[in-house]
This record gives sequence, structure tokens and C-alpha cells, in this order.
Amino acid sequence: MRRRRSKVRGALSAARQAAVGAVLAVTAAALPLRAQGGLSTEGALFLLVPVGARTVGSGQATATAESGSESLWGNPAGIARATRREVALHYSRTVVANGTVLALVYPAGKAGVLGFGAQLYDYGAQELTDVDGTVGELLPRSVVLAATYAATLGTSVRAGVTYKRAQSRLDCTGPCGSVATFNASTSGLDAGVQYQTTRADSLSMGLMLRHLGLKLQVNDDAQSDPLPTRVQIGVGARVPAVAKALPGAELHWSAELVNRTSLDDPAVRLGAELGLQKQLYLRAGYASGTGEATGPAIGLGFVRGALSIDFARVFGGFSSDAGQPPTFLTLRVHW
Amino acid sequence: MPRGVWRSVMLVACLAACAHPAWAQQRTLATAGVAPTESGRGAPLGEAERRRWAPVASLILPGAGQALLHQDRFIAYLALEAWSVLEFANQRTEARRQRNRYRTLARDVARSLYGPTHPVGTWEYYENMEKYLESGVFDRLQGGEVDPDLDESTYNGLTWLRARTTYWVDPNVAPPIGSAEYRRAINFYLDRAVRPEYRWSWRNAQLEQDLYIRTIRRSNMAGREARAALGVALANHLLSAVDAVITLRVEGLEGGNGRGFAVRGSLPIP
Repeated sequence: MRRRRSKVRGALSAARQAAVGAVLAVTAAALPLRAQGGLSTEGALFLLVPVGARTVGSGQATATAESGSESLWGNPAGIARATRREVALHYSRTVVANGTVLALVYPAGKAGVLGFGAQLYDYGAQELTDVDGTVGELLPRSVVLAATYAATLGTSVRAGVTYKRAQSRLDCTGPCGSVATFNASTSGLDAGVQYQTTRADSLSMGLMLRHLGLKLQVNDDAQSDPLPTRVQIGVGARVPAVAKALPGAELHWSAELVNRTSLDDPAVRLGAELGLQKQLYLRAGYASGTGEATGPAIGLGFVRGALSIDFARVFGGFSSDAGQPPTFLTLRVHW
Repeated sequence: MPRGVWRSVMLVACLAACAHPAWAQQRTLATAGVAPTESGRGAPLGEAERRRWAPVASLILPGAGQALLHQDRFIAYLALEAWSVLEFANQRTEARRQRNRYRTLARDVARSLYGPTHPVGTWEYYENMEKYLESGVFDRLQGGEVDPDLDESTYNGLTWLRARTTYWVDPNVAPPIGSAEYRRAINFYLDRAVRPEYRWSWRNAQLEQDLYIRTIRRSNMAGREARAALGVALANHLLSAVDAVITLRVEGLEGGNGRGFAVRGSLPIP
């Protein structure tokens, strides 16, 4: 019995190390690294993984985007002009994690617009084994709960703020006596503004500060990691000539700079969306950097009445190198 | 119940009991001398100006905006702010107290045999004291080049093993002393090994080492609780500010059916 317990402990320890290594690999891969390479010292890097097929298909340029529930994870000011309620399910799949997000946008009349979202990243179960086979599982996951408020301030300005509670956890099923499970949480906020001109091309500008918050403590207080705070500034506009040349068509472009608060590591995001009869959308974009979900991306969207479906795929980053390009799917209902 | 928790409870209770009658009285006084404006809306211009600042006031101090808007729920925001600030202070103090305690344990038990001075180390140093019974010696033979510890049950001995494994072809066969492989391994050791003034040993003091580990756990737990309280405070600030914005948007700057709340501006873009 003692020998079997020590073998179980050894298997548990090895499996735990593998699971923690997988979590660390995911979080390290999600960060846009410098061209020269390097490791991030920030925590909760899963916050940088994009949400929503429309966002990804448009190169993740979110500063000026009004993407419905996807704005809860982009510029919160993007839901300020929402007039219809929305429930959306966003699904993403990469080589290291599957992400599921459920989001709700609720226009509250003069009061403004409220948004609520819940996000789960599942890094996959790791089996715990002993000489007799599988005895349990390690479950590394990340969870984010978000609440957003946005409002228009006059006819040109929109502003919004998101409070989020982010959690990184390692759970265990079965005999987990020697496995160091953990549950680390922290709070953060996103804040953004958008300014809309009255020009013919509807030029708009956006500025946002994302993931500003408290450090994430997994184990030791002295080794808490700061959140991956980012400053994003962007512009976007329509191309009126397209609507004139092709009735029912609308081409919208956007460009954005993303940087850390130290302003020493900028990344560029470019995106374009062609809408046809407000029913079919073709998207393309590019996000610079070397992390997950960076590189060129394409997207497709269909709208039929109250239901819309968006799809996007990225052709760069860790998952693409591993032969499994990141795929994003969004189902949306408006009423 | 710990003293800090009692302090929080008493303060919150005092705020809840005393604040409301005082503010109700002030509101009565404030409205006593108000004369209707020409538009008949009834709120003086100064009131509108005060209301305009409610969101900013709430962002700075939760409940302040609600007080400016004459809403009784300012008490709830203020109470929660008081609790979160006190809780943060309590837990932060506890974290520091436990930190000082484990440093003292390290100094008075594990390091007491090695020299009169015990400089404070980095967190990694104290973390290693959790995991290793002994640091081992830094230099086995005094004089000349550094001779790393060979006892692999100690921290220094294990560091030297890692250095040899990383840079030597065979960790058990030393290359010539002046060779590049040897120098790299020695430099690895010099960067990471515990120096004589930081040497420790828990031998025959394993009970104290266990207490040391548990004290670090308590310090970490208190740090986590402090951060959680700060998260509550952050949410409270945001919620109070959003509440004030919503009130202004619905009621207007002058209250009731007054005008809405807006920011107007333009940029010089052709």
C-alpha cells in the first residue's frame, strides 16, 4: 500500500507539473511578444486573448468598434448606442484552450446601456494516473465575470467602463491529497471613450485603457503579478465611395495602436469589414506581434432577422504554428 | 473576534446610526430658503452645479455623489467603503506582522549560528528557506577560487549540481578549471548560491521550520484578503459613480424633469 501511494504521489506530482506548465504555456503564448522574443512577467494573460468572431475577423481593432456584446471585452464605449437587447455566445478554439463567453447587452433607455458577461477558458483536463490507471483529473481553467456600463454624452461622445473579476484556478477530481490546487482572483477595469465626427465618412476615434487593476496572487504575496494593462488608441471610418458604387454595400476600416502603459512595446492592428445589404459581412484584418491570435485573419458574418452568426480564423500565432489555427464563432440574438 | 474586525463593525454601525438624521436635517435646511426660478423648476442654479459634480464626487468617495443628489443610499456606499478601507488596512497590517515574524524566526533560529549580522534577504531567499533544510557553505575551502558546496541535500550543493548539469558535458567530470564550460558553471553558482552572511540551517529545528512555513502562509493569506478588500473598494467606487451618472441622466441636472446630462464638444477635423 505504501509503495502504491508513493507511485500515486509521483504520478500526481508529475501530472500537476504538466498541468501548471500547460497553464503557463497558454498564458505566455497569449501575450504579443517583442520581435526579439522574451518572457512576460504579467499575470492573467488570458485577458489578452480576443473575444468574438467579429472582433477577430477585423484584426482585433476594437478602439472604435461598436460590436455589441464583443465590446464588453474591447472598448466598453462601443455599446453606448445599442438600441436592441442582445444575447450572445462566443466560442473560441486554439491549441491550448477552448473559450466560451456568454454575454448580455441591455439598453436601459435614458439611463444608458448595461452589459454583463461570463467567460470560461478551459485548458483541458490532465489525467491523474497510478499503476491501476486513471484515478482523477486536473482541471486548469480561467474565469472572468464582467459588468459594463456605457452611455452617450451628447451626440458625439460615448464613454464606458467595465469592471471585471478575473480568476485563474486549478481544480482536481479524485484523490488529490498531494496536489496543490489553487484559486487566484483579482479585480480590474476597462475604460474607454469614442468620439464620432459628423463627416461624410463617419470618422471616429477611440481611446481605451484595459486591464487596469490589482495584482494577481497565485501563491506568495511577494510574487504577485501585475495585470497586462494596455493602452489602445484607434481610428475608423466608412468609405463612402463604396456605398455610391455598390448600393447596399458598406466598407468600414479601422486602425489601432496597442501599447503597454510604459509605451515601449507598440503593436498595430488593422481591420476592414465589407457589409452587403446588412446581411452578409466579409472581414479581414491583421494584428502584429508574435503571440497567440496574432497575424492575418479573415471573418464572415451572416445576419438573418434577429439572429446573426459570425466566424473568424487567424493564420498566425502559436496555434497556427502547431497546425491548429485559432477559430472563433459567435452566435447572436437581438430583440 | 480580532480587534481589527471589531473596529470595522463599530465604525460601520456608527456611520449608519448617526449619518442619516444629520443629512436629513441638512436637506431640510437646504430647501428651506429656496425660491422658484423663472422657469418654475424650483432648484437654484447652485444646486445644478453641485449635482453636475456628483459622478466625480462618487468616484473619489463612494456615496458622496449620492449625498449631493440627496439620495439616502449614500449610507450604503459609505459604509461599504469604510469596511473595505478598514479591512484592507487590517489585512495589510497583519501581512506585514506575519512577514516580520517569519523574518525574525529565520534570524533567531536558522541563521543564529552564522555570524553576528543578518541582513534582510529578498523574498526568494526566504522562500528557499521554506524548501531547504540547510543552505550549505558558499566556499568549502577558504582562499583561492570559490569551491562550491558538494552536498546535494543543501541549497548550494543543488545549485552547483544544476550548474554542472547545464554547462558540463558530464556533470561528474570537471573540465579544466580555466575552460569556458567551467567558468560558466562557476558564474552560474556565483549568481545564485547563498553567501556566508545569508547562511542558514534548520537542522534540529524542524519544528521551528514548520512554524516558519505556516507563518509565511498566514502572511500570504492576509495579503490575499487585503487585495480582495481593495477589489471591493474598486467596485464600490465604480458602482457609486455609475449610479450618480444614471441618476443625472434620468433626473437631469436640476432634478425631476430637468434637462439631461451631456458633454458637448468638437475636434478641429476638416
